[in-house]
Amino acid sequence: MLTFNNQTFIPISLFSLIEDSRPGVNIYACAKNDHHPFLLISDSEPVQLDRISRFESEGVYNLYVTTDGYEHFKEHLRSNWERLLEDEAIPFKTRLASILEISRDLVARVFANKHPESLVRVTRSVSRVIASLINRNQPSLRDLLDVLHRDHQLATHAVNGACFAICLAESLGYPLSDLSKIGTGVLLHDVGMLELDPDIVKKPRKLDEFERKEIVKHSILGFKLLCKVAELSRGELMMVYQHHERVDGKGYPTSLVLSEIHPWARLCAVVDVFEAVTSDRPQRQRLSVTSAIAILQRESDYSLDRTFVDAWVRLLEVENIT
Amino acid sequence: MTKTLKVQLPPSLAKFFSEGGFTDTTHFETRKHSRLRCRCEADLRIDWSPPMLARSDSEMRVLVKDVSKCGLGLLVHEQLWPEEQVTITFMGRRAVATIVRCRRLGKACYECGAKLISFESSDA
Repeated sequence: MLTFNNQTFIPISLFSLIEDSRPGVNIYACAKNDHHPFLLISDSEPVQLDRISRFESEGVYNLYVTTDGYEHFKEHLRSNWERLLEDEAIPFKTRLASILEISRDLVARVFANKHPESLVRVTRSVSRVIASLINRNQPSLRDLLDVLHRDHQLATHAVNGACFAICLAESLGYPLSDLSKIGTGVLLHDVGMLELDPDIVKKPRKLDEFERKEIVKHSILGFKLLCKVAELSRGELMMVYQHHERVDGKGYPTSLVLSEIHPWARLCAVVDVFEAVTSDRPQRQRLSVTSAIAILQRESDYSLDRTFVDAWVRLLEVENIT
Repeated sequence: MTKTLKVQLPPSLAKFFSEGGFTDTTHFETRKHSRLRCRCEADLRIDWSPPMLARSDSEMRVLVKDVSKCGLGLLVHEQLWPEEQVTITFMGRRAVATIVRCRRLGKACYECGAKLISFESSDA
């Protein structure tokens, strides 16, 4: 988010703009390393992507709408939801970005009310859509990385992680029904954070011992929140409970070792680390994909499951993403 | 019928049965009540588990590690889940409790913390 002249601006993806559509909101742009957004498309103009691309090539880094405008923008995307899923005339990257934008919003909304049944119902339907889109269109990871947000919002972390997990699981031959469940598990994996003091979760400095112990509770809190929802599968719940377990037994909450940890939780751990280090956090800036790969490979020597790390690194390397 | 004890004590708990008295507290201790070492075997029955984690066998023999005003520490041969409701019978007493945490200490040895719901004579 960006604050300028007492107004808050919310980032949107360039790829969520549909050619010739009228989002009905002012769209702002902000140059790299600058904090002064300027009006790029007024609310009465149609979107002309070639014009925006020109700005991008001149160094525009992010597009924004105001907080009030964001509600209209999401409504505009929601009204195009079915078209976005089916209409192959719309560039795939636009469809992907728009669907992820809507997904992020739906997940953020359901996180806000913390109702267990709603959490499962909404994340499951979001995951089904993302899994189906990825399964049908086989997007490149480069496309995916281009359209994902990189902020530290819990919903962003959840949606990004779910996309990575679905791509990774698909590359390993998991069936579509499992992809959807794996996506749901990742969307829910940090839900326990919602039960913690937001000042600790969003603290912009290094955590002290007490705060670290509080954060560690999130996997048990997530488990407790969701374990009575009968529709949730064992694998999905284990992703919530065990995604901080490590194969060398040094994880939490139970200190399980390799095969005692559910495979989906081991997969979740890999994409969770990758997403966390390649996104901005209150305490630090995002790392490059190359640095993230180095961290994953180092961790696969002892704490992360080497099979999943190798498969994920292979996917990144095949597309020369470093 | 009493089940066989399957808990395997790790080397760090070699003196398990000879220890007594109150347990040490640590700097970041957040427990409300002090814990008294109470080392004995017990029967544990699981009365409720999360629906997706249903067990084929709900009865097992466990070790009691310590007791406090509000909780019990147990050693169990398999993982118990938070929120599981259990009944533990030992030394002529019956405790009904909810599992709150579980930590692996070694092969076939999990240390579980349980919060007491009721604690009464097993004749009651």
